[in-house]
Amino acid sequence: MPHSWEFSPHKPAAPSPVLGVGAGPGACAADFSRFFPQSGPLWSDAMVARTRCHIAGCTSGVETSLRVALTPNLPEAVLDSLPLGFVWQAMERMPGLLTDSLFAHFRTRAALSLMAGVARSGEPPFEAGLCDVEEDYLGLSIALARWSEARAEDQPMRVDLPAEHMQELLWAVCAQFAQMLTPMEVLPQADLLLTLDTVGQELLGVYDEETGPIARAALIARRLGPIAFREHAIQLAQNGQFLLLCAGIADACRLETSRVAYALVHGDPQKMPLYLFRAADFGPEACALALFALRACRDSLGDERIGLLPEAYAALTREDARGRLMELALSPSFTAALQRLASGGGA
Amino acid sequence: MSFARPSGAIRASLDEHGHIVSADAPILRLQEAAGGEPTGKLLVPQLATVVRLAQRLRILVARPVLAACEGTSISMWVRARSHAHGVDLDISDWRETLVAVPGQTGLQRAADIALAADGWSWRTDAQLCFIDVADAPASERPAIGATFSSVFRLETTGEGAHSVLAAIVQRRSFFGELVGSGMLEGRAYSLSGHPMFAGGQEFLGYRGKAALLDAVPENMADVVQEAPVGLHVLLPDISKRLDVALRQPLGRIIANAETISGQLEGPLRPDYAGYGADIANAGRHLMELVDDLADLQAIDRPNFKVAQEDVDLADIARRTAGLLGLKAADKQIRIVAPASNETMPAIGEFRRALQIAVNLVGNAVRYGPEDSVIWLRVSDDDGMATLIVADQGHGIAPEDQERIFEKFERLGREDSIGSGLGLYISRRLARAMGGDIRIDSAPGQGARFILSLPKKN
Repeated sequence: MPHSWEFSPHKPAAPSPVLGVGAGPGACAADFSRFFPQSGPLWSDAMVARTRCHIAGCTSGVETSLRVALTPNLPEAVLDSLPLGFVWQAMERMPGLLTDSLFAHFRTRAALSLMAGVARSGEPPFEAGLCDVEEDYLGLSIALARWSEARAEDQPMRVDLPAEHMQELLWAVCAQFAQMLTPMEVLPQADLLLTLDTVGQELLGVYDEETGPIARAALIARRLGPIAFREHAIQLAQNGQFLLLCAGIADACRLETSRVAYALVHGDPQKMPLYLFRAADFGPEACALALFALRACRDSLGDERIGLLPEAYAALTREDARGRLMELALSPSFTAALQRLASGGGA
Repeated sequence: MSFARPSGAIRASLDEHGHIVSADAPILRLQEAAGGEPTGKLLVPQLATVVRLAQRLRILVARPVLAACEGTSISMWVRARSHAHGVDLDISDWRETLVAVPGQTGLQRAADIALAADGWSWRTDAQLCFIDVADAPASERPAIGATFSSVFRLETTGEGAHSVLAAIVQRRSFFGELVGSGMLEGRAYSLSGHPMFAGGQEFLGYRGKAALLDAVPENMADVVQEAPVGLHVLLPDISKRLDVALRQPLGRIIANAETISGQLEGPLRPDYAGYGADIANAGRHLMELVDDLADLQAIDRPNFKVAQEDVDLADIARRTAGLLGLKAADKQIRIVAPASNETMPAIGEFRRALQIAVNLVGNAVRYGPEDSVIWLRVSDDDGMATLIVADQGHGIAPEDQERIFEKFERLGREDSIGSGLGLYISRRLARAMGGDIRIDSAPGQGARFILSLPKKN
């Protein structure tokens, strides 16, 4: 049976042996094109720029936190000698420091922030009786606004990654600190590494992924429940709350919010939004709004496709739609293993 | 239907190997349902996954988690914090949803079973306050508006909720449960009830029957005098062991297989859903076998005794017809019961006589041809009261008519239906009550199973 692992966050990059290898700083766009494989979706320029902005912002955010945390352990002058934003600059040179799954997460959040910007902001989505999530909803809106904020590329942004990705990014940044500090011989190398490890653990120990938009959206979704979501799907779409809609779909279909969001952004735009919105019974109108918004990051969506949506939606049963989403319910590692197998197991 | 736990955060603490150091009761309930020990390794798969993630990342993980327990889907928000000695779980927003709402047929059958019991009728609203009581003697009659727990003692025991309480929490039916009386000191009821739903969704309350027991069983006396501590102690040892060793795991297998086949946890490939249905059917068959084996063990004991009560075989026949009417209708079989004004007084134990009648009629339905008739007749036969179950099946050859009462005898049938113990148990029960079961049949002419009990003078 052929598998379409189009919504696996572990999708391997297309083979591109020259990209990202030995390129100078001026070729950073080419470096990062490694993460936008030609065989996959065609992304808009806005999408590439927004993704870079998110990676740079979060990387600089972690770098700043690490500088502060290292202050008691290292001479201030040594830390000051490290140029601000040096980690991001290093990542531009060596994008392989980021794994595919972390990069996929950044693409997803960049896309969701672009989609939110496209939506026409309208009336407040919640009526009286649903006020118990108002505070969470406001928090989510603020967090999402940060994702869309205009800033210099390497200006630190609040790091609000899911736990797995936070851990990965932090250790990638720590590795960069180790690489820069080792030649300075401020500490014996073993002590330096131990210090970085300890400080890294401490930072992870105080990190709380619940403050991030994905966790917050999941929390709102389960508090509201599927019925309220169905009633408010159009309003939410009009307000650009596509992350929240993804959380609602995840709650209705017993899936993970992050995987639904990934599928919406990375899946076939002519099928995946239809499956997702039909599976949760959110209606063709909300689905059409999602497709319109997706055009901000996917170039291949034409009006004619969106025009056919109501018929396609009516022709698809909820059970069929849920059946199409089966892969999203599988363990990501299992999906990745199957995918590797399908691609020849690296032979 | 969904309801949240009113209490605050639920906590658990695990050591570095994933063993429970301490945990609040709801977690321990999930752990038990997953087959784990209170201080053993955390076996609730969904929680264990979050714990492992927090341990591996050494970072706080905050996720929605969906678990399942005894037909209930439990949704919760979990914060797992890793530290040097293990992981602390802080769980909030605990919501329980009944997922295994039986279909209309199942509900109807549950209602039939509950209302077939003896005693006065009662009905409560969704808050379990009495809204209707019928046929209750004045001394037992609860006031309208009285709470269920003030009339029937349902206090929890050290080992968990009383089975009636557990059934109510999960909106399940219960039948013939022994509960203490809250109004009559030292007395006990046999209590049956079934939940009512509007449109199959909204819980409306319970409806059932309560029968005051004539004599409190000897070892029940302590229970009704003091607190109803562990009514299960009344059960024979083998039943208790079977409960723990077989019924509970089988119940979980059936519930989980039904969850899979019903695709209640999400979409599945149709063939996988089919496997789930096969597993559930096989589980139910095993459960019946376990019940039969428990009965077998009880009746084979030398000191096995049955109660000597006034019973009416015509009434038992009518109740049996009511209980199995829907099952028979599935095969277009009609059961003709004695007229409502007919009586046939006899001496025996009501519950056991009903069990025999259900077995005989159940067999007739199971093996009878479609679009046929089963007649239930009562008569007085030489000083014995008899109940005759006559079907239009293939009949039983004379040489098999005794063999059919032997243990595990299935007359060469190789289907997976039945354990081959039902008739053996029924005849032993009938003989223990001073009666017997005979067969009058010939191949191709149907069969007449005749249950006889001592007639009441």
